[in-house]
Amino acid sequence: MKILKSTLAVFAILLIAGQVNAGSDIGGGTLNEFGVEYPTQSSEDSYYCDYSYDTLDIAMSTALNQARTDFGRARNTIRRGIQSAIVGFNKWGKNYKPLTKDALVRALELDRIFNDSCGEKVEFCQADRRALRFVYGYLQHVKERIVPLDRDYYMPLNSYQRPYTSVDGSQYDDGRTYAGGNLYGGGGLWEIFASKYKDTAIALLQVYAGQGPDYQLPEAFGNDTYELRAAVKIFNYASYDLRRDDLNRVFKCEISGLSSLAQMLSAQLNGNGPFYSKREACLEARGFADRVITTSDAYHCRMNRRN
Amino acid sequence: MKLLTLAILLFSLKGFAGPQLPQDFSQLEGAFKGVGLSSKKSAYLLVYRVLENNQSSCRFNIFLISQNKAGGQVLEAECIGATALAVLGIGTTSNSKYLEAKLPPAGILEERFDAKHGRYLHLGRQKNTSFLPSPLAEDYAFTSDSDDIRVYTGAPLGLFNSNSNSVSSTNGNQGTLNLVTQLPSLGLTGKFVGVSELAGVTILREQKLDNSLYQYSEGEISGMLVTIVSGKRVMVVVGKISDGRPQSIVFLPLTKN
Repeated sequence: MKILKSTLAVFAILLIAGQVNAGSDIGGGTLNEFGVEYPTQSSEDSYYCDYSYDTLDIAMSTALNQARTDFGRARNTIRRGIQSAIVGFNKWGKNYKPLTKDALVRALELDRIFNDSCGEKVEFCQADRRALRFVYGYLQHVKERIVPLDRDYYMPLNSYQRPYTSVDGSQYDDGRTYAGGNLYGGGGLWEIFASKYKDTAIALLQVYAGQGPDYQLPEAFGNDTYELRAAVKIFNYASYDLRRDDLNRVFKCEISGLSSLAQMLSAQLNGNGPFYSKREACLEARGFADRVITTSDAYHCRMNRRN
Repeated sequence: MKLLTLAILLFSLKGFAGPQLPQDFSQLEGAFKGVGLSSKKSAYLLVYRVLENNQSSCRFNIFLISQNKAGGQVLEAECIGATALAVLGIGTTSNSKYLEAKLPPAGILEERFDAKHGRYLHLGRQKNTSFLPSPLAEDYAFTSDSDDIRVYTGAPLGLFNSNSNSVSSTNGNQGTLNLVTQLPSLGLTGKFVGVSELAGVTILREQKLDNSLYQYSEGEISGMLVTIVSGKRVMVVVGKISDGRPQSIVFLPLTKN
């Protein structure tokens, strides 16, 4: 009997140890550093989706609190939150191509336009403060404009393959499912989606031009080099987004204008651009973004293209 | 023949007395002494090189002390050639929260050579690009390295005072300085947060508690401060921020660490 009791006790200890060892496992998933439960292998896509959104929300609010005392720490929190959210989308994206994932990859790229260090001679580096403010504002844009698209529509991976040129110039295949209706005929889901998707490209330009969630965003760059770097990135993103959907024929003028201005701004950053100074280039970029947003300038060009 | 040799030697010596300028202006930095070409008043040019990831960014912050040390201007510059920089005034944005370079361009800082000065730095007003005047009051020639003022890129920590003006500076959190100023000459009186937004140039921001969503939003910019070594004394030069135009400045020596 004693032996039986001892054996049962050992089993009980082992069971408890097993539970403790699992530690943060709740409901089968592991908690990430933001306290969000990672979905199990068998979880449905919506769990991965919620995991990513929740992680992003908590990372943003945590960073906001940390920013009271330490900009560098808050900036790192935002970076890690984005990376964790992307991990969730990687799983989710096995069946679909979530637009939020692309937007978050861009958030990391936009973070990198700001220095990690101002140089050995500067004791008080403000790059973290600038990066935090801009990336936080951009993430608000993602939450308000991109996340709803992913919640309402799927961006499927496979229907027919069609090559596109990505922002960095490399080629990859992108495809989509014919999601009901016909763009050129019967309307339907795809047309609605494509139209909304196109609108997000304009919304992205609004972020740059200071018409987004934080209306002072361009001024938050604090110097012309940061603003120029952001303009090159965002113009390329917007041009890519406008080109990627089937409405691109309507936006040929804007697409080519954004691409060529991005090239000129990039040349300015490298010291051989066409403008007198980076400030002049920044003002040109802001003006062009405004014109694309209002479209008044591009209207005739657009009509000609249609004909 | 001896006289000719002597003349050439003297001319060469005069040439060598010019400022030490790098072959490539992306490496330009230091303090230079010269004169305003119209006023003939002495002037100093402090050039701070902005580094990005410890590499030259070809951007500079420039502090011009003119009018016999009574006035100063904060400017920004960037490379437009191997031995030329475009210079722009710096001012605050409409909400006074951020600094930005201002158009019209202020001028061009370039290397020149003549028989009188040898190789020297010429800061010339930009002409014929706009109906708006350059914020530079005149053209300048900086013909030597400064023998009294030198740039100092360390934090201005301690008590600086002179007559009725004083600045007390201690380390704050978030990589900032806490400054308590009594500057009746400039109208800058109160507590400020100082941050080095530009290499070598510390910006004075009004301390405000911000309970909005953006806790890290920044207070309005009130003034700027550069630290120099004058002779053997560490000093701060403080002025209000304006659109790159000349302004009153005060020199305050370090009196207590």
